[in-house]
Amino acid sequence: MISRYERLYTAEGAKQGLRADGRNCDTFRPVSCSTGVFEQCSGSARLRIGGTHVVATVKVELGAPTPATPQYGRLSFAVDYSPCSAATAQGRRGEDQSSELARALEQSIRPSQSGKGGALDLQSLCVLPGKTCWVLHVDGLILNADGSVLDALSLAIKAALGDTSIPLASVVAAEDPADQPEIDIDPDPSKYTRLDIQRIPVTLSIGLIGGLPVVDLTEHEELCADSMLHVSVNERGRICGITQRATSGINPATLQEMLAMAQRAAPKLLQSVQRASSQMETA
Amino acid sequence: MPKDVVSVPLPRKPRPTNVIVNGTRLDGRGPEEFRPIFLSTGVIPQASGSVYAELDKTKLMVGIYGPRPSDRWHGFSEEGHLDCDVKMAPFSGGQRTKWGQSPEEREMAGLLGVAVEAGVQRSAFPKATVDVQCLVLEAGGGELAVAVAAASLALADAAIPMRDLITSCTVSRVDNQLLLDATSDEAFQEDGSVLLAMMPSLNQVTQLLVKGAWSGGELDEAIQLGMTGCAEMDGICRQVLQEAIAPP
Repeated sequence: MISRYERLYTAEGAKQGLRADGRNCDTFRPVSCSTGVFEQCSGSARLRIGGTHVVATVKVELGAPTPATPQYGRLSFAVDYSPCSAATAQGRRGEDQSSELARALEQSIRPSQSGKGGALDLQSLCVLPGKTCWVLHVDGLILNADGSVLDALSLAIKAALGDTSIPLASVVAAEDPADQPEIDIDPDPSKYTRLDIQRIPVTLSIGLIGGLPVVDLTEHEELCADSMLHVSVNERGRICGITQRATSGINPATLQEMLAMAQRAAPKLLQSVQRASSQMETA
Repeated sequence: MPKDVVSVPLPRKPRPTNVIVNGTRLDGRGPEEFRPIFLSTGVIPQASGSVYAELDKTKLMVGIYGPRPSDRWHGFSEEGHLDCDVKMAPFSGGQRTKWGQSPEEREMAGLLGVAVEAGVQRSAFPKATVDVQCLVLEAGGGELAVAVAAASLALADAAIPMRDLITSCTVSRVDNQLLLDATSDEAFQEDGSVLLAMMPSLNQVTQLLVKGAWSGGELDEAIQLGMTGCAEMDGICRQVLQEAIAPP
C-alpha cells in the first residue's frame, strides 16, 4: 500500500531525473556477485543489487527426458521467497509471486516446444537419447527483496549456471546386446564439463513512473510504477523475452523507448557477472 | 475398475514439419490473415455477460459474474478487483489432463488478468469484485489471445465500465517468416512468438509477451503486424457488440 502523495512525489521526482537515492533514471544500484558459494551444489551464486539479495543454485542429476523431447536434457526452475524476506511474500500470495518469477525466468532460457530457439543448449545435456539425460534443478532464493528481484535472480542464475560443473558421463554398451547400456560417471571430481552460458539473457525490469521509463526500481518505486516491463536481453543485445505487468496501458512509442533502454543497459549488467566468474577462475 | 489397467495412448498424427508451402500456410491463409473468427455474446444466460469465441479450432467461452462484494481478505480498496480464472477442459489438448488448476492455467490466468485489467474502470465498482471465468474447450493455438479478446467483449456485454475494448493476437516467427494468428501446429514450429494485447482506440499496449530471441528491427516488425491484427480484431468485436444490442 502506498499513499497517493507518495506516488506523486516519486513521479514528480522521476520527471526531473531525480530519484530518492540520488540515481538517474537509467542508473543501476551497485551490483556485487560471487560464485561457488555452496559446496553441496553443482553450481551456485550469490548476488546483491542494492538492498536486494538473492542466491541461485544449480543441482545436477541424471534423469529421464520427457517423452516429447527425447533428445534433450531437462530444466526445472523454482523460486522461493525466504520467510524472513518480506511481509507481502507470505502465504498463497507469496506462492503466486514466486511461481510467476520462476515462469518468467524459465521462459527466457527454455527453447520452444519443438526445441528451436532457447538460450541453453539442452541437446548437449542428453546422455542416452530417450532414456537418460542430465536434469538441471535451478533454485532461486530471495533473501531480501528491495525491488528488481527478477533482475537479480536472472543475473544470479546466469552466474550459477556458469559455475555449474557437470560430471563426465559415458555410455557403456552392456555385454548382452539385449540389455540396456550402462552409464558410467567419471568419479574424478576434477573432470567435468561446463555449460555454455553465452546466450543466457539477463532480465531487466523497467518501470514507467510518471510516464518515464526507469530502470532498477526499489521496492518503493515499484509500488509507484504505473506499469512494468520485464525485458530479457542477451549479450548481443537481442531481446529474448518480454512480459508486462501493468495496471495501465503503455503507448507503443514509450514501449519502444523502454525496449531501447533495456538493450542499452544490459551489457553493463552482464559484465558484472562475467567479472565475478572470471575472478573465481583466476583465484 | 481394476487398478492395474495399463493405458496405451493412441498413436497421434505427427505434427507437420513444413507449415509454409510456397508462401501459403497449410490452411490456405496468407501470412497476415486471421483464421475465420466467430464471436457471439450472451451465450450463458445466468452470467452477467458471456461470450463464445471460435477461431477455427480454438474454441473457448468466457463468463462474467458480478460485481459482487469483495472477499474480506482483499481488504478495503477504492478500486474494484478483477478475478480472472482460466480452465483448460481435460479434453482440450492432445492428451487428457486432470481437472484442477495446472501451472499453465495459473500462468494464463495471470497474463489474462494483466491484459484485461488496464481496460476496466475499476474505480467504478469499489469494494467489489468482478469474476472473469474462461473455459478453453479446444486448444488449437493462440488460446490466450482469443481469451483476452473474448473476456473484454464479455465484460462489455456485462456492462462493466471500460476505457476501451481490449483486443489481442499472436505473431509467430517460423523459418524467419512472421505469421499472424498461428495455429498450434505452426506454433510448435516457431522459434519466437509475440503476444500483443492492446486498446486500439486509445493506442495503448496492455500486454506484451515475447518469447525467443529477436533483434530490435525484427521485433518492431512483429509488433507492427500485431497492432494491425489487433485493429482488425477490434473492428470485428465492435460489430458483434453492435449486433448484440441492435440485431440487424
